[in-house]
Amino acid sequence: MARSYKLEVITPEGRVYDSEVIHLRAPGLEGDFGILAEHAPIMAALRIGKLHVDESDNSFDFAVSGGYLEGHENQIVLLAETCERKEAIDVERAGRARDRALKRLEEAEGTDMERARAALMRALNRLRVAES
Amino acid sequence: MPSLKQIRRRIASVQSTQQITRAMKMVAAARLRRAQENIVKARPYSLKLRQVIRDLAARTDRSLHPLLDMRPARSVGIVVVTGDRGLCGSFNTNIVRQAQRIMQEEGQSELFLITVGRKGTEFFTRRDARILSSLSNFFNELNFGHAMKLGEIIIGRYEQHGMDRVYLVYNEFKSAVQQYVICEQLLPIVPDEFEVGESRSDFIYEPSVSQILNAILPRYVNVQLWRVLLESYAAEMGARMTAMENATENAAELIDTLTLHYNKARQAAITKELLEVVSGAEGLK
Repeated sequence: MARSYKLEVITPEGRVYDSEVIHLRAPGLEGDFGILAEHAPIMAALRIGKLHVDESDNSFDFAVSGGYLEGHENQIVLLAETCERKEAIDVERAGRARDRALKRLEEAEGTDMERARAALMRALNRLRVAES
Repeated sequence: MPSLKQIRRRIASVQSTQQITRAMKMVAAARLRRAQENIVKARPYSLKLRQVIRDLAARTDRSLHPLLDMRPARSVGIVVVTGDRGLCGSFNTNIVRQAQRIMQEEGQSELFLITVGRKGTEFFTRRDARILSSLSNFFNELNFGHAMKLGEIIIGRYEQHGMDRVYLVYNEFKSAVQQYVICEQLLPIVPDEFEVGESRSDFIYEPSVSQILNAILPRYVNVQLWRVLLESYAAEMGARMTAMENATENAAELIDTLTLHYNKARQAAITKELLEVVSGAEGLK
């Protein structure tokens, strides 16, 4: 029986996940990494991507819009501005957001460009996670 | 003396106004409860973020992070948070007045406004203030996305040196009957907010302290804005609740007075009619 640890996912709109997990795979800034029980203390920045979580008899995927992860003594806390379970993603809305961002990318310049690009990344990530 | 019919119409009109103010009070009370729940929900996230920044800021050079770096204030941005609607006492006017005061104090720098809420936007548009960006008519479906959008606009401008300081002017929710106008600095992030925490050097930093800070600082700004939007919304609902309760009470008072007038006028009319009948009968004798 694999050993487990506690994972909490906290967003500004509340705690979205809180449970014992065996393993997680998170989108680190410089590549995905996995965490098992008894991991050394770690602080990590996350990019926009997919968070995969294995519980003892179940597994979940989340779309994460970047954030921060901290863990020590078998307690992992993940902070993200948005984190949605794969099943809860509104595909239609993400599709609309993607189209809107693409259109803005064509017209925009300067800061607007940055914002449009960030919005596009978030929308594409949601779609990718929803379809995986 | 107005006629009976006029008084009756007046009473009906005041009654229907009272119904509206009472309904508005109830709606405000329900929304206030929801806003307060959201404030509580946002707390763990911002506490944790704050703690992380405190730990990390102590071990890097502050000037490497634009959001922490103090530079001379040649241009100043003011984020003015009002509501989308009126009928909430002095909620909006207090904010607008405070914003104008700051604009006067900072008169020697270049000023930009970022208005949040329809009331403030309209006020400053009419006065031709320099509005960099405005966000309104969203408070009814307020979500974190709005804070992110606002954050992106402000940080984008700030990082390109379009603004060297950013202030926030908003109503803080104290209780349902009390709001405080708060003016605080959003950017650069005030250093003494982060007292040096105990050093935790045994951590693996992925990829590095400074890159983690870079990822977190804008998020801290976003969550600050989120808190401010929630506070302001809760305060607006509180202010509206109080204002509408007063209005409902005043309407009740007015109805009482009018009813008294009405009854007096009715009695006078009956007495007059009786007198006419009696004196008519007397005349026939």
